[in-house]
Amino acid sequence: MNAIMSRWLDDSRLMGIVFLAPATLYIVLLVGLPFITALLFSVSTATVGDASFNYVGLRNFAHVWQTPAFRDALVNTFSFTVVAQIITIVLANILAQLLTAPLPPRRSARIGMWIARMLLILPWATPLSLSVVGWLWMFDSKYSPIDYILREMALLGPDTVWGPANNLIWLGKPLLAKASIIFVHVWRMTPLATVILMAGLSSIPTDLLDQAEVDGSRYLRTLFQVKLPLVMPIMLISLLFGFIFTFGDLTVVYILTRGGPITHTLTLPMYSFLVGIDGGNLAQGAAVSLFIFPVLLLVAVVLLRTASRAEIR
Amino acid sequence: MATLTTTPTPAQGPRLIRVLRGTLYTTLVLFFCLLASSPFLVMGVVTFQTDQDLYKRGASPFDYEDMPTLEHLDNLFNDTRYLSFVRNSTLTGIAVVVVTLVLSLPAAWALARLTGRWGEHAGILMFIVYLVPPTLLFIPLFRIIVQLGLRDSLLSLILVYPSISVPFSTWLLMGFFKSIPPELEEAALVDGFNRYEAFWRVVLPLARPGVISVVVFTFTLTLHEFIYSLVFISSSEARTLSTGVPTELIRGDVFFWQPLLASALLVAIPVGLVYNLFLDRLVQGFTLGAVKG
Amino acid sequence: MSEVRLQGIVKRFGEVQAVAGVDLHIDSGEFLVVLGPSGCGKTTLMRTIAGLEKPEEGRIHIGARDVTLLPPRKRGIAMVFQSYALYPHMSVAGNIGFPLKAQGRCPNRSEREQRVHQAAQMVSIEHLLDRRPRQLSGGERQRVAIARAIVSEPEVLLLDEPLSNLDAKLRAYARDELKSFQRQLGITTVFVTHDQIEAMGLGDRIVVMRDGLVQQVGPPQAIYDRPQNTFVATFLGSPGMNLQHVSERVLRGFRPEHLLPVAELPPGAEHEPFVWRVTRVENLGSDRLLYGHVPDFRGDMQLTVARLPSNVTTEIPIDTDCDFGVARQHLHFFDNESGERVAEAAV
Ligand SMILES: Nc1ncnc2c1ncn2[C@@H]1O[C@H](COP(=O)(O)OP(=O)(O)O)[C@@H](O)[C@H]1O
Ligand SMILES: [Mg+2]
Repeated sequence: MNAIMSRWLDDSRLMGIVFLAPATLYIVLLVGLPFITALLFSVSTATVGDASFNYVGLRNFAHVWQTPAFRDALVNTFSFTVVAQIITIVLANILAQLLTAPLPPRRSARIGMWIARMLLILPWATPLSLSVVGWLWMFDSKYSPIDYILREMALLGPDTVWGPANNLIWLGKPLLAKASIIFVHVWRMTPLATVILMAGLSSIPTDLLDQAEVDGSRYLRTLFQVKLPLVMPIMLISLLFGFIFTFGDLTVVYILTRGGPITHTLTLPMYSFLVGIDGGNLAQGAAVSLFIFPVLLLVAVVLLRTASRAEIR
Repeated sequence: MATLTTTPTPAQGPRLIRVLRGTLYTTLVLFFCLLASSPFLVMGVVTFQTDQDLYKRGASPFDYEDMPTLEHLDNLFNDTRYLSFVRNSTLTGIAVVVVTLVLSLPAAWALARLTGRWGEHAGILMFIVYLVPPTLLFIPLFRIIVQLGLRDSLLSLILVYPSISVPFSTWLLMGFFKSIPPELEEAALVDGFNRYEAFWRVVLPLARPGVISVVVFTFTLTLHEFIYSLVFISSSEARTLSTGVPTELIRGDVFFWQPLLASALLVAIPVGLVYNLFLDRLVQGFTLGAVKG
Repeated sequence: MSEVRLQGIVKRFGEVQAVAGVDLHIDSGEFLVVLGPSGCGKTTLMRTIAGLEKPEEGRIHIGARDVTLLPPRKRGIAMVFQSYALYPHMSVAGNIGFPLKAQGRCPNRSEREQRVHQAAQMVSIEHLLDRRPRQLSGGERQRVAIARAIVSEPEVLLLDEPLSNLDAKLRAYARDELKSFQRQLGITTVFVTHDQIEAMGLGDRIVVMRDGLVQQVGPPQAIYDRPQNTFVATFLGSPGMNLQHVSERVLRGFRPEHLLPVAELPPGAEHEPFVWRVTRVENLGSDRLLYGHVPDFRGDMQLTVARLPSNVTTEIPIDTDCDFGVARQHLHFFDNESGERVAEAAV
């Protein structure tokens, strides 16, 4: 008995199975199964009230595809994600450089850096929906503090460049609303992207940077020809995170505009929510959100392959 | 023998350039700080403003004409379920962290020790599972939750949230376990431990920086999560911060701005402090798990 | 090619004085080896010469220029790190060409390629130019690092333990190659190592360091023959010098190879008789090492080692008193307290 027991305890293959089983089971049940259910919904007529399964083929997809709102959502989702990612990665790179630069050996510098880090990390430390409510106030149509500052700078109000109105009404105009949403995405992704890039930068051997200095390389050359190529794989991973978060995000749009004005800021997740939950049409809601998956899959495969090719070890 | 001729080395570089460089650096850092924290600065001002002060068109939103008031904080704590939202978010966060660790630590170890093609692809597979976003799953999961009778219960969130955190955590921890040489485990086996004891006593302690990163990331994910919480829970008592506060303090078109903004600030400050304390270790955890792994 | 002068260099890291006041004059074209145990400040000293560390005190001159405040790129130096620090994302050619691009010394592309090729040829790696560093063996990487160091024709070449990552066989070969290569170029070279054999074999002169301080400077043989203090005496040679208390104040030292059976001592030379019991013999093929314990003037036992070349075939009985001796000229005397060398007359 004891011998059998101890054989089991030393069987590495059994251990692998035992260790892998719970997570696998969980993922199959809570990701795999719902995923298949989503697929089934999308080819049926399921609604919140009626769970019976009527196979209708690709009719839901065809229907959704023809809706102008869906087209808007598709274009917006892409453009928001791509633009936000480009800006985020540029800002995160600058910020990571700033935060990893050597500090003067003064107490005040250390305290200042601590405060700066605290302020920079806040977007990440607050539940997104609450901080987006904060932005909702910042973009308020009457009381926006941003508008106030613009007025004080004589950029807004009667007889000014952006006048004559006293308010920009950020979320009420198509282009401004789009820009606001992209801005909030950048704002909330930058801290995480910076942390990931800092990890990448701190893993560059100091010898290499010293070597570059001895070789006569100046700041910008070292940055672009040594540091950035070396953090490229991790930068792609950070991009991937950003892409997933932004592409699949509901919170920002839901709180700021709910897709408005009209459908100018509608995204796939928002549309899926409006159709599937608010409208009760589970089948079409599922069909909308299923459009997200192949795109994410493609992006992930491309980025991960590039990352593993850029891997230098 | 070395003779000590003391010639102090003067500071390097022309003074002007050093000052300019320092100024540029400070300006850039300040710019980023302002960008990141501007809504929170405004929250800090608005929280203590009276309605009169707040809704005065054209006046500076940063001035107090009336005395700052604690009325809205009082309001937030006593007239809303804010404290129960905080409790729900904390409880959910802790439970999800525990479930995530229990599921992903062993799984990551098993995947890290898989050799050959399977080992290489396992990580990618995990990442792809991570790609299936809540926006895709909330509709079918909603049905499952209703059928399980878990609607309006925190249990629904505790059951579902690990589906976001487990794939990511497993992927990150895999990197960690790969960097731990198998010889260490083998040495423990030679010392008479069985494989499970070796994992518990040797491997887990070495993965601590990774565990810290996973804890922080998982907690953040649950704190931010919005869709599942919005869809699964409609009773006010069981709501978490991310959905409870907006639903209680936004009634149709009426926004209770001061308590709304105060509620965000009250979470941001303590959580930000904790994250700041852990930031270096978080970077380190990411370096070891994602960069080197 | 330029001379290098260090005056009173001090480099601290917080409390630690990594370099504690070093004066050094390196002649133009010289191959100078900095030798010392791990942690004695060799790397720090070298990084200070390179400009990667700024000394708290002291001045550095290269040629006629005071370079103390200049950044590395303005010093006319090149450096090879212990890890070789090859850029992993660049080809071998890219690595070698990087200093030329970075210093903007060679804007013309074809000229740059030609110089890269020349440098590669010097260390016989021109067939590897398209490879990535990870596709190279240790010895090949070391050559790439050296090619990259010489491509910009520096006035001073700094090498930080460049051979320590090679296996023993390759190391002897690389040593020989490095030395003839340096002679050919005539470049002023500072070579850091903790390996005394490397130091003896390579250096025109050796600087022995300990705890951030220079202990002795001189040609290898001179340092070996006349160590300035007990540290140098025991650090050089393998095994190091035997030291014995002959009085409260004085230590007497002699090298293992100078302790010989009386019959083997050079005829005619005056010698100090030495009767001891050998407790163990190690046969190394080329030599025999004899170990034994000998009482000092107080009667405390001290380990003593003798090294007999293989042509000395005398039978050495174990645990029996044997008559050995050391030629007078091979005896060294040191002050017990300071460890400094003293003249025999002072005994
Ligand atoms: N960047 C540094 N920060 C703090 N201490 C250092 C640093 N570099 C070296 N030291 C210390 O200075 C001393 C000399 O180090 P080093 O010059 O590397 O010695 P060596 O190359 O002879 O082994 C050691 O005690 C080491 O710990
Ligand atoms: Mg060293």
